Amino acid sequence: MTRPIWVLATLGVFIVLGTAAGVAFGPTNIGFQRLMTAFFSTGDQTAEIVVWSLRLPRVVAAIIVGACLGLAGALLQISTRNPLGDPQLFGLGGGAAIVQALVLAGVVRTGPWGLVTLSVVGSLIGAGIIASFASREDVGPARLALIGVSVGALALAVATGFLTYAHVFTQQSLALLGGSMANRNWQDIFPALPFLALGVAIAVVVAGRLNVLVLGDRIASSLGANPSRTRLTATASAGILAGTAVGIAGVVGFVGLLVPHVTRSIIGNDARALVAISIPMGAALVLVADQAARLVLMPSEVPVGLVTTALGAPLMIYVARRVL
Amino acid sequence: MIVQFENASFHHGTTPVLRAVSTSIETGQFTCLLGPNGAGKTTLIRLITGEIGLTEGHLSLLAGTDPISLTDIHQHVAVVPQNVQDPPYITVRELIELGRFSPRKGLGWRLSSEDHEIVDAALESCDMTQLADRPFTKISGGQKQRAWLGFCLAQQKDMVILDESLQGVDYFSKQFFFGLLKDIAAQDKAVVLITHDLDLAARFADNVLVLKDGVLVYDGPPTDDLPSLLIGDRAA
Repeated sequence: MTRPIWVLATLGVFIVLGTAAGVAFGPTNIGFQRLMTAFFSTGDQTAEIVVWSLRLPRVVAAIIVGACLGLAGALLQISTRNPLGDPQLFGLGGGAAIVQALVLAGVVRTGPWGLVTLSVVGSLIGAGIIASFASREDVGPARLALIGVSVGALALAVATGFLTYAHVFTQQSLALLGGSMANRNWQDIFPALPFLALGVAIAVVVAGRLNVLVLGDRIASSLGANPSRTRLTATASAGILAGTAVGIAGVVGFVGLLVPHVTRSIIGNDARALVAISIPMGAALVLVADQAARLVLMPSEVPVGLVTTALGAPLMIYVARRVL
Repeated sequence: MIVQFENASFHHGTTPVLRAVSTSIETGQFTCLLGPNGAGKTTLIRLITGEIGLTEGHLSLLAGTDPISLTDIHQHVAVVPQNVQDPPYITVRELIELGRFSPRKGLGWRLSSEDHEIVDAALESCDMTQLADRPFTKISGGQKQRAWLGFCLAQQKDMVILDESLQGVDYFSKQFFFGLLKDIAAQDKAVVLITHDLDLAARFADNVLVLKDGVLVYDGPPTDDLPSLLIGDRAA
């Protein structure tokens, strides 16, 4: 297996390149000179606004969303022993999407902090549902995924219902349901940071106990572990992270599914390394996917969720055929 | 003697599952636990592993106190329960390495060089060295049995319990597995296997326990009467 340090270095390069592309390219062509001016001196107001208020927040949003979803996916796949574990497929994001729809529809009025906080609460409810099924021995991986997909589909239907009822603009609805980081500013992003930190902190605390969950609860218990508590803690962390991601970018599908599988294939099965590497892996994936979403059809763009789904859906079919 | 039941009864609600069972399980012996489905075999094992507690009677582990603490059980008993789901992703070696897991070490858990030697020895003992790097899900039923046995051995505990009826495993693999269990018991361990295979139990076990409707109807060395004990006179 590849050493984690090389994986981290490679991901670092992807994140740097993705950031460079995210800042340098876009519908407004500002050129290298003006880009440098915007970064290192003052005077060119247009370039400053484009770089500091439009492009850089979006890059940071993509990194946060990717880190959240990658880590949440790893925690879910490991703690539920389920190769189909993904915050959206398991319905965690659905709870948060309902909250977002309520806010967009004007039913709930709140600022950026309230929006992310409520998203996290909605996602934690979804996490609670999946955790209650995951602890039952008679619910195998495929059944758990079906339950999660059903919960997620129901939640998205409810969210779509609110959006339709309130005649929310198509563009906004599409951004929520398809996932998008367009037009995010610093005020939208700051509230995500404490939740990301909390999710990561819980993941660090629980990571050392995740490896034995692969054995199933009864055997893990016979080694002196407390698998129910470990899974509940990991799922709660996944809930916080998934809610944070939806709070910023709406429903970005399949990142949580894709990232742990790719990470596992590169660095192996140790849960601690999987948890650690899934964070930059998710960040790099969403950042690069967002550049594709932004730039391929420029000046118009597609929701980033479409790009990640295009990558993730074939993987899910592969996993369902080969791993389950 | 490692485990001793004295007049042990367990009721599920008002339904008696085990009735006044008195027996002991000895170190150095391969014990086969036989009985029809629903006879109380799994319940007996769950009592030893501390997952459930006795309704009446006494159960002691080594010279431990009564009731036995879970810490004592975790220190002395390695168990693979019935219908265990295949662990996804991991290789045979990684499964056996988890036998060395210590929850107290948390994030800093690392296999020491001694741990690696123990894992290698466990792979050797269950004849899985050649298959060590194969994914667990890609090996045969008989090989999975042996991998789980290796996992138990790596824990280096006094007692190994396998709750498994070896369904879907061919006769020769089963025979090999029974032989392995007998050899392991001879290394001063108490080995308990729940099985439906009377023939192999009669050939390999040092001691046989037969449960029927929650009652221990036989406790002793293998005997030709096992079929009649289990099914009644029709089989005799």
